Amino acid sequence: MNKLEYLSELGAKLRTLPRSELNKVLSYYSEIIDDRMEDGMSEVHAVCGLGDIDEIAQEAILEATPFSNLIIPSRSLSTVDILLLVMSTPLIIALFTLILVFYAGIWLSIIGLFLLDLSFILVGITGIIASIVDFSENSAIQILMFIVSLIAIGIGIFAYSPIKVLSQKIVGLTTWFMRKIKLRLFRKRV
Amino acid sequence: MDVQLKRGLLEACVLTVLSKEDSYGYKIIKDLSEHIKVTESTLYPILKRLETQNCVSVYSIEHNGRLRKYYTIEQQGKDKIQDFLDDWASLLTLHKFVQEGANSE
Repeated sequence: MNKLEYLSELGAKLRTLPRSELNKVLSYYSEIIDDRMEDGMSEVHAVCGLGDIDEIAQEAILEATPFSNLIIPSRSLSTVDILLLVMSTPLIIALFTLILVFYAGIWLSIIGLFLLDLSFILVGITGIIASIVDFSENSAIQILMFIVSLIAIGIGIFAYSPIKVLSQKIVGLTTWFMRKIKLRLFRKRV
Repeated sequence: MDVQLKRGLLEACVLTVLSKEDSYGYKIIKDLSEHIKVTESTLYPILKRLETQNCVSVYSIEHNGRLRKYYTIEQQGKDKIQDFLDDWASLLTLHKFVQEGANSE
């Protein structure tokens, strides 16, 4: 297969993409092929080395297609479709509620972790101020309060990075999960 | 390797290549090939994502009668590299903790 044949086949597989996105993908691969040939490869070798054209097309479509486009059908709904949709409305509502609760749960956990961390720091700062401007006569309590406050600030500072990493990991997992669903919907549609 | 982890790693690697000099698709792949395996189809979505996140910007230069797209790192891209390094330090601490736990079993 030469460059022109490869690009026209790739273009055909990407026909569902908007024109601007399609041109971007094609110009990217066209440039790569040109650079490979400039590096001394033959045209056939430069094209074949790019890998499976179906996988390339799938990757490009997955990246460029919004989630909603995979759920909402591109054709108009038939009477049977509408009837089925109406009948399954409770199920759809339950499913969306479940997804919403799941997402809200994840985000609330992340916010909760950060708030907990912040509260440690705030309690620590307040404790230090209180121990300095303390009104009780008991200096032992003042010292104890000062030390405990320092520990609280320390916990707050040291826990920040792991909480941040954990939050990014959770966000990453949700992205991965959405990608998996997207892939399934995409394969079903193709 | 975990897909998300590899994706994050690749983004950081691409940004590191671009932090040295502006570069184009094929050269980025070549520069990275000494350190990590990356294909053209893997690189495309990464560059696209980095562009969307304003971590890199794109310009074209005429080369041998055709246009070649060059990518240049932006401040957000440099911040992303720093974030990656900071996160990695935390991950190493966690790794040490997990390893010590596993060794004590």
